[in-house]
Amino acid sequence: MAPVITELYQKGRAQEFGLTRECFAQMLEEIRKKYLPAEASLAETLALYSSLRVEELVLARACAAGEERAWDAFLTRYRERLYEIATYIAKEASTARELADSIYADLYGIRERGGERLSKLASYMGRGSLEGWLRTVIAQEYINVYRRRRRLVSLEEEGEQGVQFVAPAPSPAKAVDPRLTAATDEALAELSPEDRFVLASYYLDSRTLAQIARILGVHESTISRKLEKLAASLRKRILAGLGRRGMSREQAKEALEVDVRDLEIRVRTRLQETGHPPFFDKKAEGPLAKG
Amino acid sequence: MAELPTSIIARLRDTDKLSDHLDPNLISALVENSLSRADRARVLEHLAYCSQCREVGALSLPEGLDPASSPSTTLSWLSWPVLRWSMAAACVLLVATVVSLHQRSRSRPLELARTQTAAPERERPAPAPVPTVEEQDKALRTSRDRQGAHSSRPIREPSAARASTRSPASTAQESEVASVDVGAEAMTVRNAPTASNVELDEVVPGRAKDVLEEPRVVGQSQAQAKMSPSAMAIAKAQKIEPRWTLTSDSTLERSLDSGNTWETVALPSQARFHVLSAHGMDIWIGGAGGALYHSVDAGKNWVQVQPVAGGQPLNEDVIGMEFVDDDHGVLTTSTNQRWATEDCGQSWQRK
Repeated sequence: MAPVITELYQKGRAQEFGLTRECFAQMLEEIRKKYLPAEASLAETLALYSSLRVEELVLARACAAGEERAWDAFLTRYRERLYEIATYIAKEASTARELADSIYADLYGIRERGGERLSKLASYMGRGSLEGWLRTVIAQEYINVYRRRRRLVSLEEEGEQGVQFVAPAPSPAKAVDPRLTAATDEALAELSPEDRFVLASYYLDSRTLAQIARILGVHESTISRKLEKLAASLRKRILAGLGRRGMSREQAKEALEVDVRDLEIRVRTRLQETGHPPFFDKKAEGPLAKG
Repeated sequence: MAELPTSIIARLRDTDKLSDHLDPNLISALVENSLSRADRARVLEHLAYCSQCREVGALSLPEGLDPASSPSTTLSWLSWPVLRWSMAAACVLLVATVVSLHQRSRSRPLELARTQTAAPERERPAPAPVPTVEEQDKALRTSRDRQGAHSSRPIREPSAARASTRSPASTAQESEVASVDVGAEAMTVRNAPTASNVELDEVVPGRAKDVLEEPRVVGQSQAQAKMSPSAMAIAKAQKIEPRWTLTSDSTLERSLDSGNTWETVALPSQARFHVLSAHGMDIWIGGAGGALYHSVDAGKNWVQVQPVAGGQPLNEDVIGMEFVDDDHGVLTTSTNQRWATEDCGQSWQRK
């Protein structure tokens, strides 16, 4: 193990940023404990160490330790990039600048705990590139900020629109058949994590095929075919599950395809299309009001 | 895209809640495909149930991944559909090539066989131009005119007719010609004569049977050396000998390849020759005025023979000749005399 650590130490140019070999070895040990179980073999440890981006890891840890030369190198490489990423994620200039400044402060470590500067760069573990990690950190911060802000804005908007005074929607007259719920849960539990991720990304998150493919590192057409197969497979399994639970083929199909929630949405949509106004809108009363 | 029933989507959403979230290091490593297989599976397992981490992952994708401008939407050479059809086309091309090569290899043995059978003929002296039909007819008519009152001779097969003799009717010519050693021969080669030539060479009764045999070539030529071993063995066994013919204008022709090609052999005298008799490499020719010549090397060198019997030389036209072997032969003259020899022409008896 010592030769490997020495080799990685030299590869990471840690000495240029004032990082000792002991500190470097300690850093590797911290990473090993975070991502590998205690009983991990030597081969697994070596494989983990070999996959690390040691040069970027050394830079980030040196920045977190307050090494000025490291920080200068970091700013040279990533300052502009930081703002570009924030602009891409936020899609709006002011939000992007606010986001980038917030991240910059976290990376630099303005906050202190017990006299020690807390830098977000200390949490970089070298599993991926430093830029990719920055992108993820900015995205995470954006979601947290946007959600907080959206939550606040939505409450204000709801108050202006009178939504808060709207009566809650009545619960469906007919509940979902528990046999359908059970059969669906059973079929979903049989999915592999990747298959479920693809389904959830597409049907819940409304992600594009390209985005899903990029995350998984496959071609877009692969995702398209996978979704087709999964949809067909789920139907088949759920129908089989409903059959095992005492439903006939026709009953199972009807239970699966005709959902009471769909019916409710269709009725509401249809009413809106035919132009029936709300009760409190006087202008729409027409002849009856005059009569 | 296939529609998923609302019930399924609802259950997906209901079970899609996790409080703990992924380390940004792992999300970024997943997007960059830097995780081990085991780590990737664990990360995906979390992402399958955590909408927030999925959103982080989607947002952290590199720029230029807008659906409208996504590079993955454009087909590249490595994309699956292009690769799939390219592989299919490559398979079709491969099959077609294999079939073509197989058919070519099957036809090659036939070509080799034809090549081998034709090799002996090709390697022999260059073929002469084929006589035109008019030339052959002219020769045929001339021969018939010459034969005139003579009794008809049975016509033999073309392959056996080459070495036969004719029975002409021409004026006798007396001449004493010293032995002539014909060295270089002025040769013109002709292609194999056609069936019309058969009538030029008629069978003389008692003709030596060797003319009925397949012509044999003595010795192994260079051409035969290039033949296949089996063909060479056959040639040796057959011992192919020259074939001969005398045209109506007294031109002697020889074939060394079973009649496929012919070459003119220079004659030692200007006399008109009417008959010949060949046996192996031996050939006798006789003609007007008792002209008689003998060659033991297939016409390369000639020796004039003057038959004398009872002190009287042969001066009549030799119109018939038959040598059964190298020593024994009989001449027939235009006056119906028969001259016989038993010692290769050294002595003669008139019968």
